[in-house]
Amino acid sequence: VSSALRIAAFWSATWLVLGAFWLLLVDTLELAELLTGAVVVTIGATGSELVRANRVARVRFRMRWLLRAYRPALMVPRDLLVLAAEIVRALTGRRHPADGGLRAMRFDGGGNDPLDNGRRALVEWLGSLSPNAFVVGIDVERDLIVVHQLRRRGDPAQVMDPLDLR
Amino acid sequence: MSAREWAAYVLLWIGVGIQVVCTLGLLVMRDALDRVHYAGAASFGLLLIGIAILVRESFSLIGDKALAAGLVAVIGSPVLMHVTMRSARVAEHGEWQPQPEEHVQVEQP
Repeated sequence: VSSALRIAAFWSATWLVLGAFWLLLVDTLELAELLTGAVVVTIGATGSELVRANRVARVRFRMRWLLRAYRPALMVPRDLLVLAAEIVRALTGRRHPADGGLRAMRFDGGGNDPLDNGRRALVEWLGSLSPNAFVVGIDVERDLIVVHQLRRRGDPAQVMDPLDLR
Repeated sequence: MSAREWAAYVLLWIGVGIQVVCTLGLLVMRDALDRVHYAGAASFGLLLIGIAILVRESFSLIGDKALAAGLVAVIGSPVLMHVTMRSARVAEHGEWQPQPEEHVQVEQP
């Protein structure tokens, strides 16, 4: 019974959040829009709950990790300029394949508990926010983080682990 | 022109500029993984264009939608690009991990 209640509670909460988002987007209380929204939101909430209830991967985050999300965001303007500069270098024949590529650094991959899952997910997501670097993956067996950079530059820790979660 | 309109135009043209750079990057770069960087960066252009619309139209049907589209793109793009890059490496090498012939050295933090 508690499991069914839990599912109902999560489904209802998701339904309300999606419903509020729908109303924000359509900005009207016309019946046709409300009915369409109800159908769409029901599909969304059901899909979300099916994924959550399957527990493919349980994740948890620490608040202090999320508070560091501004760090990769600060790197975005500079990286956009790097991308523009690389086009100029490519067009003038000064760009070489070795200018970019993979970089690797030690990173504690951790186990399968929700906190470690959350830590890896956060690093892979926000570590890929700034456009000069994308996290290719975290190798939990070899405790490595692998990043692809268009232009190889920057301190390894700042580039590969801007959230300082290693 | 009011300060609000100026702000909207500046945001709009920076956003369009980013889109142009990203399109050029996709055309110029020869390596598939290099192109992924430009595809991902396009989301920031979209966000700035969305903010420009919001500044011009204020919080309204069109302003809210523009901002939501930009935010969804910026939030979702890193995941999409990460998965694309990883899939490309798996397709090319059979696994995403660095291969011996790539001579990737483990750097110290």
